[in-house]
Order: sequence, then C-alpha cells, then structure tokens
Amino acid sequence: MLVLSRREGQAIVIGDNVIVRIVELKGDQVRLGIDAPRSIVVHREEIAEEIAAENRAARQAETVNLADLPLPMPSPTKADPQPEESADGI
Amino acid sequence: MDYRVFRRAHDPDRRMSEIERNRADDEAMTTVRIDSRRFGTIEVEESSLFEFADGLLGLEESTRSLVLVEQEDTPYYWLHSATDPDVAFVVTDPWAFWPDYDIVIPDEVEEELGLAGPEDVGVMVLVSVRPAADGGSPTVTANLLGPLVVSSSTRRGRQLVLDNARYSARQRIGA
Repeated sequence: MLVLSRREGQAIVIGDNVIVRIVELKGDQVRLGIDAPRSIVVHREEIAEEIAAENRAARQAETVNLADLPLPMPSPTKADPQPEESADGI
Repeated sequence: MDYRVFRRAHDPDRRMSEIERNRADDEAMTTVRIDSRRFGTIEVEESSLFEFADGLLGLEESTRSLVLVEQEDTPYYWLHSATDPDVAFVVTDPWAFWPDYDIVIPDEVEEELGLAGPEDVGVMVLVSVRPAADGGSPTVTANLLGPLVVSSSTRRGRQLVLDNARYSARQRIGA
C-alpha cells in the first residue's frame, strides 16, 4: 500500500481525474473532499461491508414460509423508518 | 420526469411480476432449468432472468443471474439464484411497508441498466428472517440501505449502496 503524508489543504491525485483533498484535521478525525467523475462510486467502506454482511444473512434457510411473515399495516400513516440502534445485537 | 430520485407510492395491485409483461413480444421464448434446493427443478423463461453484472455484495459469484418467484397473497417474493441451488432470498416492495422510502438512482446506474423511464424501474429490498432462540416469533428485517434496482426491459440489475443515515440494513418489519 502506498502511504503518503499530507497536510491540511493538500491533496493527492489518482489517475487523471480523481482528487482527494484533506479539507480539515480536527482531533482524531479527518475530513476528505473527493473530486471524481460521477461514474466512480464513492462510499464509506463500512457501509458496503454492512450490506455484504446483511446479504449473506439474508440467504434463507429452507424453513421460511412467506405466508408467515408480517404484513404491512393496513393504512400506513407516518412510517419514517428509524435506523436500528445495534447492527449486531439481535 | 426525473426518476433518478425515485420514490413510488405502493400500489397493492401492482405485483412485481408485472415487470414480466414489459418484455418485447417478439423475443424468443427460451426456457432455462434452474435447480433449487427449495423448489426442486423449475423452468423459467430465459428472458425473465435478471442479470446483475456485479452480483450482490459479498455473494458475487452466485448472484449474477437471478429469477423472481412469486407466491400469491403475500407482499413477499423469492429471488432465486439461477446458478446456485442453495442461494435464495426473500424480497419485498419497500413502499408496501415504508411509504416514505426514497432512493437516488445515480446517473451511472441509470446508464448501466438502460433504465427507460419510471415505469421501467423495479425496486426490491432483501428481507432477513432470524429465528428466535426460544422458538418464538422470528426477527424479520429488511435491508433498506442496499436496495436492488432492476430494469424491466433490459433485465439488468444492480444493488445500490445508499449513503443515507436514515436507513438501516436491518430495518425491523412487524413488532
């Protein structure tokens, strides 16, 4: 792995058209600004990992009967989903 | 209409299988046999398969080719691997449960899938069923963070990775 030291405000260039800039250093956090074409997908690593883990968990055992699963509320009023607190507490 | 910001009211009469009817009529009807540990051997039209070029995250090899299997009278469907008899998922229409759900379909996904307009877009979310340790009701959750987007005409699909703190990969369904 290539490791580079950068100061606040400095950047690295990847290929022809990706720029990653150190926008701010604050405590133990660093804010990055990423300038890339829309065709390049950028997301936090842990989100993709969380989805991959959930995909694997969603492979069903043979015992699930669709008719036994919960139905939607008959007349949904306000249903803005709240993120679950724990990712692994179930 | 800008369907890249995609938010569709749930229509209980619109079964996901309507996606099937969008296919061109002159397409040759070739059937393929799919081995399934759950269903035995099933025959489906080749043109009904969904092709996910990159598969689903973490299960890339077995999920590049998927078929939707309907069961009457439930809002759930089976999404079965066309290549691995052991790989099947329960999926559902997110708007059936969360009317406010909305997603952004990035330009590059729109292009990759060849989305032809809002009616061409199918969205489903994976459902996990975790049995209760004590034999009680299982915990049922939906993955709202990684919805599957498909084109009904090109049959191409992709799993999105949303960067939206409002949505969980384990959103509880039912109490």
